Amino acid sequence: MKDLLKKAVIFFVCFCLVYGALYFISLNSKYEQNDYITAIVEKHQRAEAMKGPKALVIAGSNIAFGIDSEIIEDSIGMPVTNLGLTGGLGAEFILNEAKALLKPNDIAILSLEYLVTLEGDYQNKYKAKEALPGTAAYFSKDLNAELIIANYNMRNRLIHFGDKSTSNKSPIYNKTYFNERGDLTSHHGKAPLDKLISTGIPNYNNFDVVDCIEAFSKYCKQNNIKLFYAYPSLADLGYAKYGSYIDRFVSKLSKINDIEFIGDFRSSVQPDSCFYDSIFHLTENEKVKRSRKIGAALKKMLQLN
Amino acid sequence: MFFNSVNYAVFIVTVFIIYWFFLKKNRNAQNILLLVASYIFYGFWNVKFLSLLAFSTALDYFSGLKIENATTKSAKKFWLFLSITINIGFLALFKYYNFFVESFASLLSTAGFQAHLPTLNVILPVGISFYTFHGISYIVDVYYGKIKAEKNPVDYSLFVSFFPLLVAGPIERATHLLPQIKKDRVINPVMMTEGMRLILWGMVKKVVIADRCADVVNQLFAQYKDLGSIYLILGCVLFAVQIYADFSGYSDIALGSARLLGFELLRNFNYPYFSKNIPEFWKRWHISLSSWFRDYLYIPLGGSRGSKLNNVRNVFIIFIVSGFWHGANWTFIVWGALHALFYLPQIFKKKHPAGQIKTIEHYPLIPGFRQVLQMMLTFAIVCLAWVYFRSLNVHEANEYIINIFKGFRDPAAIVNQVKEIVPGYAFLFAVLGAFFFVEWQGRDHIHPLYNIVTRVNQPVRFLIYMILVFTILFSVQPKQESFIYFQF
Repeated sequence: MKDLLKKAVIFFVCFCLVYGALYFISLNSKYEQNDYITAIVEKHQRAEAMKGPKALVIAGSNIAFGIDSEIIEDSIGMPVTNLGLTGGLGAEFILNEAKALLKPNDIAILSLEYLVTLEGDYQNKYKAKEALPGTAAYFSKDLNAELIIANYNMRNRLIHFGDKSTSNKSPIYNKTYFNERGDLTSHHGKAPLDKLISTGIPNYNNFDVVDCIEAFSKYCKQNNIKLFYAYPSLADLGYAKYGSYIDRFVSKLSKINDIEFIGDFRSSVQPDSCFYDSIFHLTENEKVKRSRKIGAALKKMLQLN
Repeated sequence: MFFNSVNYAVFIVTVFIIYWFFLKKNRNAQNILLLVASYIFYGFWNVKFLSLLAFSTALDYFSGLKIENATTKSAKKFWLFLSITINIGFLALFKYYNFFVESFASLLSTAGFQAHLPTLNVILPVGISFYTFHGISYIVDVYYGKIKAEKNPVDYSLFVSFFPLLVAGPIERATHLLPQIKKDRVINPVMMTEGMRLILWGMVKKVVIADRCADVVNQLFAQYKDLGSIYLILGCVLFAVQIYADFSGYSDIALGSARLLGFELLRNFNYPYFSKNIPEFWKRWHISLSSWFRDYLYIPLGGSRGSKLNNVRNVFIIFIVSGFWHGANWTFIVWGALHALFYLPQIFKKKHPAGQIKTIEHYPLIPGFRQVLQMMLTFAIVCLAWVYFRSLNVHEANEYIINIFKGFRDPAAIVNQVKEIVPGYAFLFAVLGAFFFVEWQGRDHIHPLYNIVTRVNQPVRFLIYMILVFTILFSVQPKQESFIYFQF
């Protein structure tokens, strides 16, 4: 047994030395990660800088691609910040982020995608935390996931060690293309892709996201924040695939008392040709149309002249 | 707590140190430690369902004692019936209730009645199908006198909840595991070395093979409507590899972890994709489940005794029940029924006397054409059935398979797809080729590393281990795939 333990210890020490050396080498790599999520910094700065009542649009990428905040701002006469980045942050993170930024008399326009999970993807949350450390308060820390992500980042730095191009930036999912209100503009004027991305497997028995929205609605009511829900735009393809789940989601959602719904669910399901690259991401033209509809509806619901 | 997590690495090392270095000479204390560790392991997933595990354990523990102490046959039968009914009742409630309600509502709607029946919004307790089957096998064995009822509640609880097998098997038998729990364990360096090798190879299977295949499989199954035949074939072949590497990888880690603690668990996989026919496949795939169904369902039903018709009926019953055990969905039932269908030729075939047929362990390194053909045909029909297992519903699975055959009408498109796929997935194919070669050369041992590492000297062995560890570390993705069998 002693012999086995001795071998195990030697192996472990060798492993630590090799891993340490690789880690040290990787620190000299010029590789950079995709910076899309780091746009959270500017979005927070804008929302926090607003003095009077404001409106926040809250969800994942469907609002980043599909809301023109200026149009809504003109309709309701109130500054708007679009917080949308990705549904991969999870409902818990997105709604906690909104709670941190909303103040009494603000307006919250929620448009959470149907396939968003409660916890989301830890890598997205980790990136958000790296960019804006305060966001660590929006989710529970998972040391296991953080070690795996750190290991993964090291691997990527090593793989791309000698690359001349130092970044992994996408022409669409890129921080540079968010405007001052937080709307993404990288898809403007671009032809839609031939096939829409429609991955995502809903958990058919678990509607904890709806429970989370209900808790958020209570928070808004207690803090005198007006909460509206704008159904996320959804391509026919998405409804064909996930319709039975989405119908149940919408039915449960509609039972929450403290939310005012903008428009109806059916009209939020649109032909695939209205979408840019995924079943939730509208093209530029459709984004404008949707924003006008939401703006007009809000104006009416808020009884503004 | 997943086996492929840092948490588990810390957990198993901590348990190992306390178990062997602090409690070495006290078996009862070791068993208490393992029981507490098992409840912590399960509690990491969901603390609420620990009470369900404890209740199920207590029920079978007391039922076992009652059966043994009962003086009349009817009293024995009563306790057997009560225990099985409650065990199956929990399984039915958590796993099958919504399925039955929705299927009934759907049946009513086809008959023109609209029914809104209440469904349950509950999550399925991880491992319920596994620990329920542990309990049932124990109770039945006590009833038939194959084993004495266990008097020590700690030992019995450990049998049900021993953490390496708690959430995804292997499904142990009381006759096999309880005697080990009641015996003093001694440190055995050979057993431990093999345990660590099993864990290492299990991690390779899960992280390097299964999770890489999962990325491609998820994409292909999500877009099956738009894809050509070759892509669809690739999808089901890769799913076959994924589910094997995922589940057998889990089993290897379970067996390896148990060996580190001095326990020998039942083997669950024996290179199933090298089988020459479906009956052989079922002797090599999820062995602990298929032998459970054989012993507790097939044989009591009459097995292969009696007429051919009875035999066919029994085969269909066990495969359909086995399919349904996997999940509350018609897809699993069709999957089971298909395997029953594939099994039928063997019933009508003339049986060879035992020992006359060569098993794969005795094949040469380069097998004959006939043997390769038999293995490929078996693999092909297994892949076909996996489409049902993987699809969200039967309609999608049917469409998937129809699209495979439809696509062959256009030979030019087939050629184009091959031209896209071969370079596009070249790296993955190379990895899979290497994986199956390693498995094939080591098919005469519980894990295929054995034949490689025992033939080289110490430094080379270390180098091989180091390469495998770094391959695992550099293959880990931030978004980890859960083990497929956790959902059952």
